[in-house]
Amino acid sequence: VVAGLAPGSAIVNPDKMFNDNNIEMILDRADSIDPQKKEVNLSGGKTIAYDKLILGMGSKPFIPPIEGVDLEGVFSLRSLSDAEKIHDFMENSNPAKLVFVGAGFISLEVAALLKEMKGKNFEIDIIELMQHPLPLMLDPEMSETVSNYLKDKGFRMHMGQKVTKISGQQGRVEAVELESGQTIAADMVFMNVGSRPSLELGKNMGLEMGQFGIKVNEFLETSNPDILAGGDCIDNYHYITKKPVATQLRGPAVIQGRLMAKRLAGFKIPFPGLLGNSAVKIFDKYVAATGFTETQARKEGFDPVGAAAESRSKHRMIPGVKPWTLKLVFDKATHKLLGGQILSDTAAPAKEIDTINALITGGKTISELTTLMCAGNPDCSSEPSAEPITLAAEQALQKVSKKA
Amino acid sequence: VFINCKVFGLEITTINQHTIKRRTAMQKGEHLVIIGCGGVGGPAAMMSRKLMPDIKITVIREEKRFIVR
Repeated sequence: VVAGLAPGSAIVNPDKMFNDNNIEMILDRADSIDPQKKEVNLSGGKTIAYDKLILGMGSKPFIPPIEGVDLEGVFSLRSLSDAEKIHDFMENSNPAKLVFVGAGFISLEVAALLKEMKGKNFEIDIIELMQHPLPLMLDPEMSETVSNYLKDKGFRMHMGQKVTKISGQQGRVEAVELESGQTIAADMVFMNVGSRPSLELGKNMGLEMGQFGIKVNEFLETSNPDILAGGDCIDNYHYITKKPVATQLRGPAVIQGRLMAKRLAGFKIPFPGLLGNSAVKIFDKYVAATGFTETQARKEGFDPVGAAAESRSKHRMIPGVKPWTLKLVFDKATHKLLGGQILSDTAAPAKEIDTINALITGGKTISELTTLMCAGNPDCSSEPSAEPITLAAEQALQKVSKKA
Repeated sequence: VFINCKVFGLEITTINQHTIKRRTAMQKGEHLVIIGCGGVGGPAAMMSRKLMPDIKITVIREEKRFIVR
């Protein structure tokens, strides 16, 4: 929508889907919940009684308290309406210099799409507080490949830099100032530095809160016996450590929504926790990750061992063959798989991240992965000898054997 | 506690080491209200309808348009 590739109307679901399924849809704001009366009070004055209540209020973009964030031309991107506002601004103001604050997947995906817009040649600067792009997905050496690729595409990368001020004239953005003293000219600024859960309703009605949101048990039940909650507004927990995590992704939210329905229908299926599996396309490069990077694993107290293997999308002699790289991260103590990262020049290998995901949840170890057998075909996979999961596991095996 | 739970259809659940008795499954004719219609709300509503054809379901959302992927 931002890049004008699709109108907003093309990606929304019609209310007909709900009407056809006898689901009432109310367009209004829920102002408060009375847990004693079991009622939701709407801003339009209506009161809705419930027997069971599901909360899925999501999150809002986090705007850091920096001078100038309220200037015209400064945007964050979270919702469809944000995308439409950005598109309208670009149509009307014709900006040339775009600055992205934050080098996560939203920033990079949008920046790449805009860079490719026909008839435009935007100057694009990317500013990131951490030392490399996609810091939540990739270890530094994997990220360096992405960083170099983006520089080749014309992005100016400002890594390890803190924004101190956004300056402007007559209420409109003109530049972004960094702690280093550098000033970057800007006609438009995208602030994509994370989001914060929408907790007002839950807090005001007295629901127990966790570190990052509404506290829930493994069945997504809150501290109120008739209220469940899921998605960005809950205190999600990590699959491996079971510790609270601030991960906010659409995939788990959808699974949690369906899981709450199953719970209310009498099933007893616990939510396993998040691994943060995610994927992004930046120009022609696909990046996917799940579980812990080596850096994150170390922070969590593991002694990790990482191993990367190069592979290809097809057998070497097949036209159109493209390279891809897989990195696996294991725990030296237990030899269990903790995470994976993929960089690929084609789409299909990126979805191997779901295999890595399944191998983590299956508790697989280095030795077990050395015997993993994959389907092989010249047109859709590497040769079996270049299958990167076993190659990476074999490298890890050598590394842990040397240590022993 | 176990006998009471059996009689009233309650289940003992824990959250943050607190024990809460709750009737987990919905009954015919009951009303499920869902606040929000993003990643959670839409799928929760559709799956609830599939699994519980005899309950009333209401979704409350602020946005005029919404995305369910």
